Amino acid sequence: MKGFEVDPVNRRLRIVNGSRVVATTDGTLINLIPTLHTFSGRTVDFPDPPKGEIRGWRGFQQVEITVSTDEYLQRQTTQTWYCRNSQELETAQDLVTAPAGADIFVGWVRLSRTTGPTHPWWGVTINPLPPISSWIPWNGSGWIEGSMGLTRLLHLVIEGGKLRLVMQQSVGPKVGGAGGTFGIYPPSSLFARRVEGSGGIFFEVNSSGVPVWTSSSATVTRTLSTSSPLIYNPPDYIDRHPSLGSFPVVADPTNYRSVYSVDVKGYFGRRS
Amino acid sequence: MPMTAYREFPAAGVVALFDEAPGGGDPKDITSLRNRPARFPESWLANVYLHNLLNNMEVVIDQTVGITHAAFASASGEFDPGTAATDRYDTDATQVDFDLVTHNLGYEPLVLVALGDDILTPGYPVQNAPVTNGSGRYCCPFVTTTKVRLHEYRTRAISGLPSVARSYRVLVMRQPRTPTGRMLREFNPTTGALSLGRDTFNSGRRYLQVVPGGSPFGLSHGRTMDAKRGAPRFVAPDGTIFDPIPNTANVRFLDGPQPPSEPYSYNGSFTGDGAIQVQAP
Repeated sequence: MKGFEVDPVNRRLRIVNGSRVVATTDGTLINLIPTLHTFSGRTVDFPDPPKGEIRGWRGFQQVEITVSTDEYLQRQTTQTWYCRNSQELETAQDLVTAPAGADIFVGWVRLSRTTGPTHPWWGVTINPLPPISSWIPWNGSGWIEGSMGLTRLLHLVIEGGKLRLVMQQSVGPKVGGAGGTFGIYPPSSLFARRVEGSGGIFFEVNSSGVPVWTSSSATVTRTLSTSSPLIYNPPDYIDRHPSLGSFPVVADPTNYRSVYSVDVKGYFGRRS
Repeated sequence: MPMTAYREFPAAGVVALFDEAPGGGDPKDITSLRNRPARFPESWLANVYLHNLLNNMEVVIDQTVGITHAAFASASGEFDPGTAATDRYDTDATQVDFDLVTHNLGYEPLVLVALGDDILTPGYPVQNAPVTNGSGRYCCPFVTTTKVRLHEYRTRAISGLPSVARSYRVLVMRQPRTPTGRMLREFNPTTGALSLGRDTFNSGRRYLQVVPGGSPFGLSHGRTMDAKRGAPRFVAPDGTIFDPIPNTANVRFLDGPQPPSEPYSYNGSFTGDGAIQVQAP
């Protein structure tokens, strides 16, 4: 059968072409309103997450006592790991009110990153994941950026009767052991007198998140060495870690903000 | 009582199949209250089944394309080796683009790309590790004025993923046709095709449809991803959930027996916003 069927029994009208049902009042076609909606240059801003810091101290002691000379070396190193604290963030911008009866938006999204992170996150450069400067037939949600403990999403959806562009950012939980201070030795008697190789590691934490970056520039080392005679009384003996605040502060150079310019175009419609 | 009607209004150049609006009036007069869905279809979408002024997503290309995705290696390893470490996980700096279909339409068309019975969302997982470990391969279609292309990106874990072959079905939809001729309705007895609205709709063509039976594809409706605890979740149109980061992923300092963090895996409750089943018979 080809043509137009009126089915009074099932109260149905159908346009058929052989075995194909091309249109029917049972609801087959997707009807799109021919008006093309365009939204150009919308800014989607993934902010730099809240910052934190973990500072670690490592101390090491060497003592060598010989017949002719004694040598004593004490090396203390502090290092800063810059962190981003855990976060769940969502920001929406309304593009336009959907026409009455419209329950779908069929269209495209084009992304351009105008600002990117200044440093790698967990050793990985944060690059956009979807294609850039190309029209993407968009359906639902897209994964924009990601790394260990970081996910950035973009949703284009009809919610609450409006077409909305929604930015979502999630940052993972704090590193293990990060409960204020922690170390592998008690906070006293880290350097035992005359004990070769004694020392310790100690962390001070001002963070509730993921350590994302560190570098040799964030490392400050103090070395104390001297030679004979020592035996019983090494100079400037320190028996425990110092306050990490006594070491020079290395300012956090990182900024993980990403900003995208987003173009959207498409049509509202309804599943008939 | 409102009824379902097929009406033609030659003076207005309108042909429509619709549920009447309340209010009655002369059925032959497009300005009657009952005929508002025919006169203002953009405001009465819920009443309209067919209207020559609406775009019904005509499918002009339907091709299945085989793509072989290359193997990739594991993640690069610990961050700041010896001091802070975790189970390995990162996003691969390598991204790959493939050509799917050359359409040469001269504009960026509406396109649906399906894998199995799912239509790809922007960043759809096309390959997972046999045991979830963080590795995943994701694809996102994009279009130019001449081609439909596929963009691949990856996440890597303690092991990568082997090469895999996938078949993508590509449906390309053209822009609405310009009206031609003078006939609002014409039936071709030779081909059996019904032409409506000056041939803007023709039953000899293929249109994306929501139909029972057949072999439909799931087209997601609403959000398709969520994020929690720094990790993503994907929900496919068929409801399949993929959390690429396992519960074993954590962050700790290597020095001393430092305890691990909470898992860096997804711990939300998103299960998808549903899907409609479409095909182009």
